[in-house]
Amino acid sequence: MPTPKPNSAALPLAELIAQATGTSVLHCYQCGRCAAGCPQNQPGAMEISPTRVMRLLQLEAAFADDPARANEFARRALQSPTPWLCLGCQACTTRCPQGVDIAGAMDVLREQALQRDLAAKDRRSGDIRTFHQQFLAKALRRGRIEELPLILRYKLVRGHWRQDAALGPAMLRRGKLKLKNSHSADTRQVLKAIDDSRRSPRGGP
Amino acid sequence: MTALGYYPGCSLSGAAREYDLSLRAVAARLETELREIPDWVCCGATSAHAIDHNAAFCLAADALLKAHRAGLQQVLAPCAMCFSRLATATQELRRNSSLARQVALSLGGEAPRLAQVQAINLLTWLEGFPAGVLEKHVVRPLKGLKVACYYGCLLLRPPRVTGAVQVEAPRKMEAIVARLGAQAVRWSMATECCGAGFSLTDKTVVLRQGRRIYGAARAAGADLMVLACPMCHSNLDMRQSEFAAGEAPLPVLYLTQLIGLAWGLSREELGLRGHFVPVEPEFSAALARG
Repeated sequence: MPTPKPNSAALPLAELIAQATGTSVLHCYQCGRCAAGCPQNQPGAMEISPTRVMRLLQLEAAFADDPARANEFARRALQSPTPWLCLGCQACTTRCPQGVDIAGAMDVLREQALQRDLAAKDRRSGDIRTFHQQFLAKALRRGRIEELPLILRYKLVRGHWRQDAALGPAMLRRGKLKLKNSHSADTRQVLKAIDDSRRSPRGGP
Repeated sequence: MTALGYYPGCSLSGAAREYDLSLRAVAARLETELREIPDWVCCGATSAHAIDHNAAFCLAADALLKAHRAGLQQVLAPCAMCFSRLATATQELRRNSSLARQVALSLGGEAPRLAQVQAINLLTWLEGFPAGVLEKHVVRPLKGLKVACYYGCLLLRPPRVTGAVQVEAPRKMEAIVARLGAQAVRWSMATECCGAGFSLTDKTVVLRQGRRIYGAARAAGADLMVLACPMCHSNLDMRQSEFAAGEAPLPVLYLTQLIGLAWGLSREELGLRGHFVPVEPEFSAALARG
């Protein structure tokens, strides 16, 4: 789980994204190519396109001497469901003529939204967020993911018992699910590295 | 025997068992020994990098470190997601970001060597075999078989990570399929996202994307689809009865399974039993038509 890191909330999101991806959202000139190729930028899915999210991040940076307004732009980007609806398909990052790692920026927005307790509250964003959190927690605890316990835990917490109820048995018959956890790996080394990275002043974001 | 590092990833011992089975069968005939990275840890998949940059990097760096300690410089990661995570970590190490420096330090003294471990995907591994090697095992040429080669996202994107040269109109898988005697169709959805891990959290996305991909493959006259990603397979095979209910079934095979069929390997060796859309009788019927 993400734990708060010192001072990250004080930096503009554009700066945190630059640290994480090595690219700058300030280079975006709003051509819309990311939005055009995004499989989720359509009615019923994203309300704020990736292009508009880039603009919000630019505006936060532009109003550096007016913290109240800067904050408002940052908040709109962080509270948007858009980062949660992003599939991580990397089409935007691949096609951006300015070399902005837009999908990487979405990663930073999700992480910051969680740390600042601003993550989108709608049901769908919540489902996606819970799944990511449970998946990561399990990977770090057991070192391996097995589908069935992961699926059951997700359904237990989010209450989606009826969805795909018939698929479980069908997958079991095909040997695609196992009833018992049989795999694990030693995660102590990883956990120590993550812990060190959080405590190090250089280890951001 | 050539030795090659092997990072199977979680899916290949679960829902994508048949990918592991068929890959091992194909590797054995190509005289490649797959050496599994000792005690490998999950790459974190989409979820780790989605919410925790440091954790995602550390998980992948751990795999690179274990490969390095086992003397494995090149690691085959057949799952597109695992490949992407390992290759992204290598990029971050080479970029020498502050996080990479710090984590490499905390993982052990071999830090600079971590970036030398190279993750490769299935296509890169297969295209490395010179002309004649894949061909000589063919006992059942796939002449007349029309195949839609589906790449999805992470085998290709972003090219900075994958090293792919042709990103929008790739031909690598088509070239391999042609070496088996089959005919790759030209179609429009080869690099569109399948909806990925949203299968559980927002199924409507997976059904919408699956429908579009299935429709395009059918319109191009494909008899079947091949791919090299467990997530894509699950979405396009398992969910096909939902997004294409009552329509003609389109078998979805791992590339290693199609190779195995051309080489005359058994259904058991290739794990064909694990499919939701049956491979037979479609496959034999299509060959007969061709």
